[in-house]
Amino acid sequence: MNLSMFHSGALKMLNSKVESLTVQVGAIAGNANNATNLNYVIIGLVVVIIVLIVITLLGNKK
Amino acid sequence: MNKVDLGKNCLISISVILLYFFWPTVLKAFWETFGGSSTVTLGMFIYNAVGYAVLVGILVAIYYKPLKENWIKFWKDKKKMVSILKYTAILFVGILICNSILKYIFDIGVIENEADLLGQFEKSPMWILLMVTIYYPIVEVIVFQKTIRQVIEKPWIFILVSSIFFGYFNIAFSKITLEALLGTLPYIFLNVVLAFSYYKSDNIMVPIGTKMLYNLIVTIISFL
Repeated sequence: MNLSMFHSGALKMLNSKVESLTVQVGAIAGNANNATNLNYVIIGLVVVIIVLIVITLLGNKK
Repeated sequence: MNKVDLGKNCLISISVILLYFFWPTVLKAFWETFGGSSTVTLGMFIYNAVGYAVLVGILVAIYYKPLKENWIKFWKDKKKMVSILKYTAILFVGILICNSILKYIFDIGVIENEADLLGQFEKSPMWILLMVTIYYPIVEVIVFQKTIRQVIEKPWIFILVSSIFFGYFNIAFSKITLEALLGTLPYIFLNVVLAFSYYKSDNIMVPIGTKMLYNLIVTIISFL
């Protein structure tokens, strides 16, 4: 692989990773996209909430 | 932190997380209730911009006191400002390595959600620029790090939970496949670095600043 190919490849990969957008674009597009995928979101939220509650109840001092 | 404070923080964190994830649905519901058009118009654009600004305002109001304290401390401490450059450089190197592994070992290019993102970027680059350099860094660091940090005091558990949380929600809106799961690697890495920077500096402006700078550079590269 020559240098210009490396740069082109690297930039292309960087371009595809304007990372933060993914979550929110998912959220925006999620409205129009597909309701079935909302299940994964709800499952994820339930898990996160349970984890936070359990950690709170157990306590987790430094 | 005593149990009562921890319980209070936990409730606030859960409320903030739910608010963030259901905010687009709330905005859409209001828009449709008041007869907004389903096609993309300038009115919809302004409505969304105001709607997301309101969300930022609500989150800042919820954490106003710690954010204000962090803001003042940040501008007084040059080391914290310099650390943003250090963490941004780490992000570039790390994410490039993660992406190279995905591309050349697993042959994974763009995951489904990123394809949506790139489509949006081509349609309205200025809007995306504003969102990635201002909105997402503030909101996402608050939602994926501040909320978790408020509840989990042990640093490595905080970094682990926060990063899995962030990585998972990068793919939760699209089909969850093995490819998509592997595709979360750069995001998990990104969040590990940001969460670590937050823990080390004990100042939320450091991960926010790092994310702003990283996104700005990547977006500028995308414009070229």
